[in-house]
Amino acid sequence: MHRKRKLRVLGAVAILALVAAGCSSNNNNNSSSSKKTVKLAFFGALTGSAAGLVVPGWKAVQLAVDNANAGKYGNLPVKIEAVPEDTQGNPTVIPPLATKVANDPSYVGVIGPNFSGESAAAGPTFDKSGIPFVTGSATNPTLNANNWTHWFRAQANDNTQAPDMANYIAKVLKPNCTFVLSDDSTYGKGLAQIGQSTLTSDGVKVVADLGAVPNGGTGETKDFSPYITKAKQSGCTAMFYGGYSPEAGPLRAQMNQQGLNNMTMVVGDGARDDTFLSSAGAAGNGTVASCPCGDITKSSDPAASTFVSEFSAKYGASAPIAPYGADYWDIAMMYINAFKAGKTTRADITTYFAGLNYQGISKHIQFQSNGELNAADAKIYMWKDVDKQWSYLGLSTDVIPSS
Amino acid sequence: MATTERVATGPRSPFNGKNLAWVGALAAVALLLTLGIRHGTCPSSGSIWLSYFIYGLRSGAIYAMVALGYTMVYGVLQLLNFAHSEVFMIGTFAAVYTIKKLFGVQTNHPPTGLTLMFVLLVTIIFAAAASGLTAVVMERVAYRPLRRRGASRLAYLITAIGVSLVLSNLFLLLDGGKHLGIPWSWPAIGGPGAVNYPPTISQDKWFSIGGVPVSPVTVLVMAVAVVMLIVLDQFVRRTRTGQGIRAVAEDPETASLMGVNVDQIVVATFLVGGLMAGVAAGLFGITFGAAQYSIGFYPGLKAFTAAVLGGIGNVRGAMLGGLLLGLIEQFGIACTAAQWQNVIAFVVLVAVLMFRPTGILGEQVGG
Repeated sequence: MHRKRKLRVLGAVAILALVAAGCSSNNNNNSSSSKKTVKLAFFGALTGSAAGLVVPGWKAVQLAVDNANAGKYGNLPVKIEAVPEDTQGNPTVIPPLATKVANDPSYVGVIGPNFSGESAAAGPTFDKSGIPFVTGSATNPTLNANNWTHWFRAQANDNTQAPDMANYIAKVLKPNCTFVLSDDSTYGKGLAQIGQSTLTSDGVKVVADLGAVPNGGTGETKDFSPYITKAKQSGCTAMFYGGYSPEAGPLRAQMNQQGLNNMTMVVGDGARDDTFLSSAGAAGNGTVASCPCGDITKSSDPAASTFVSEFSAKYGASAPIAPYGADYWDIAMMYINAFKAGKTTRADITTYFAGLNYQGISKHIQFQSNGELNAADAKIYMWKDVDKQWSYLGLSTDVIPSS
Repeated sequence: MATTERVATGPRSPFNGKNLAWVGALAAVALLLTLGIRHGTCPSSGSIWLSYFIYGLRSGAIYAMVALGYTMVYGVLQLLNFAHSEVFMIGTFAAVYTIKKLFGVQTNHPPTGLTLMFVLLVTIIFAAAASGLTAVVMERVAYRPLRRRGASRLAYLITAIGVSLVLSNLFLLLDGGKHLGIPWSWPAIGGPGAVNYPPTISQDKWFSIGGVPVSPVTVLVMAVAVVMLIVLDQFVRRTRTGQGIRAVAEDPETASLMGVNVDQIVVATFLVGGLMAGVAAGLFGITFGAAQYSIGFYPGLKAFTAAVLGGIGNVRGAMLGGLLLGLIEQFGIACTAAQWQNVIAFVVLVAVLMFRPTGILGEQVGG
């Protein structure tokens, strides 16, 4: 008994020591300079199935912050620390993380949240605390109806994206009818709802099954056979899928296995990533994706080329920048420019963003009074899975015939 | 024994209230179906119905194998081992590791013929071993200390939930934490998110039954499941350990007075449940091509439901419950939208429990 108790005490001490070591190592990277450190929190699914959509953005933010701290963008009045907050893409995970950041005054800004569901869940907390939060990828249109005064969307929303997807189906694919399927996420269901109404007004017959795939974005659903039989039952030759890649990829693969090769799938930005390519495999060939994200490597802007070469130098040439690397780079640069202009408090940065007129590498950024990007800057691009690569088709207005 | 008593005291007529209720329910379903097909809401094509049936059986077979772990542990310890879904999850990782690392299968070069058989066999054995080991370690580390101290059932339950969360989050970090600065990670089997299986057995059409394509992998799942379920059933019924499991489930105190080593029996129960979950996990991973920290969630939830549906604590009940649940899930949405899948499955569960609170086959281990 005695020996056992001793062992137990020893174990407890060891655990304490480990925890203490972990804490102290965190403090080691304090710089010697006397500059005040401000923190930017990056909220997104950094682990889990949907991470392929988010990690490029986080890498871009780290790159921008490292550059800024190294003095590449002039002498800043502060030292910036970018802190990752991993939401696992799950709206139920984010509230405590959001509260922690909102209540800690050393955080002056939020980058993200990356997804719509988590934005809806964390928005009230952020907005109440007065911390500016800028998303580059949460595209559900209803987010702007919350009247959050500290929220900005440096991106087109699904009121532009979903009609483009639907118009692509109606005017390019011209199917006999379209099977509309979505997951239950704020993003996926919203996208499919808007898509369904555009398809109907385009005169395309729709068989809809909205909100069918549970826990969208988590990849927990693996067996898609019921939805596939349902799709078979519809007899349609096109599918509009509202949801994320962890479901869209396996769904596409299993559709082919179960004999639905002739149904072309059109997905939104949530499925336009490497996860889709690898999980759909050869079956993904021909899948069309829309995205507010363009192909930054094709940009003629020298700032964009610098970004691409720095990104590849830091993370390797094969590390994907898309979908949202360039878009989050721009958001990080917005914060860095705000610091440069001496705006280092939550309130000052919010005011600065509200009056922003900034030419980024991904787009021109200027916000409307509700936090949305100016309509003229909101653009959608089309991509196609060709031999397990996302091949760039072009701007949606160029790809889809107007009549 | 209980059955004979019930028959002796209960009404002998086949038209008693319960049977009438079943017949009534079936008649109602048949009527609704006929109306639905006439009206066009239900599919009129036989091949669509067959498709629901085949895929329903396939997922049901997996649920059945996982459900055995829940039901046996419940039978012996009255513990709802929610961490069983993580036993399953670890099996999917062991399988992908075996295929990718041990056999070095490449995406472009799937094995064929005898090599394929060997790869599949070893993969499933390794997955079963990993899951079985996980279950045994879990029992030793998390549950035995509670049992020694005579902890309440609530303490077991909370421990089970805790073990489940710890394991799944541990795998989440191992799997995708590299860019967060987490020092250890899986040695190069994948980036964040799901770890994809390289192709092994073909997923494409082998033959078709009534217009429904059946792939070799579907045949594999069904064949292995049938064999495993029969083996387990015979194990519980005929072997000494099986007898011990049934004895402890019936009355642990008396069993221990009769010379049954309860500790050993509990370990054996966890081991057998873990092995079955591992086989299911290997098949599931090969079928759906992924290993992932959260992969156990749905199969776990569904298998638990299947165990309750069949009668928790009852081995044959778990098998029946699994197959039934797989079918109900698929057929349930034939005439409705797919988003009703879980609603329908759980309405059926509640309805069954209203008439038979102990599940379809009752609570006895071994049936």
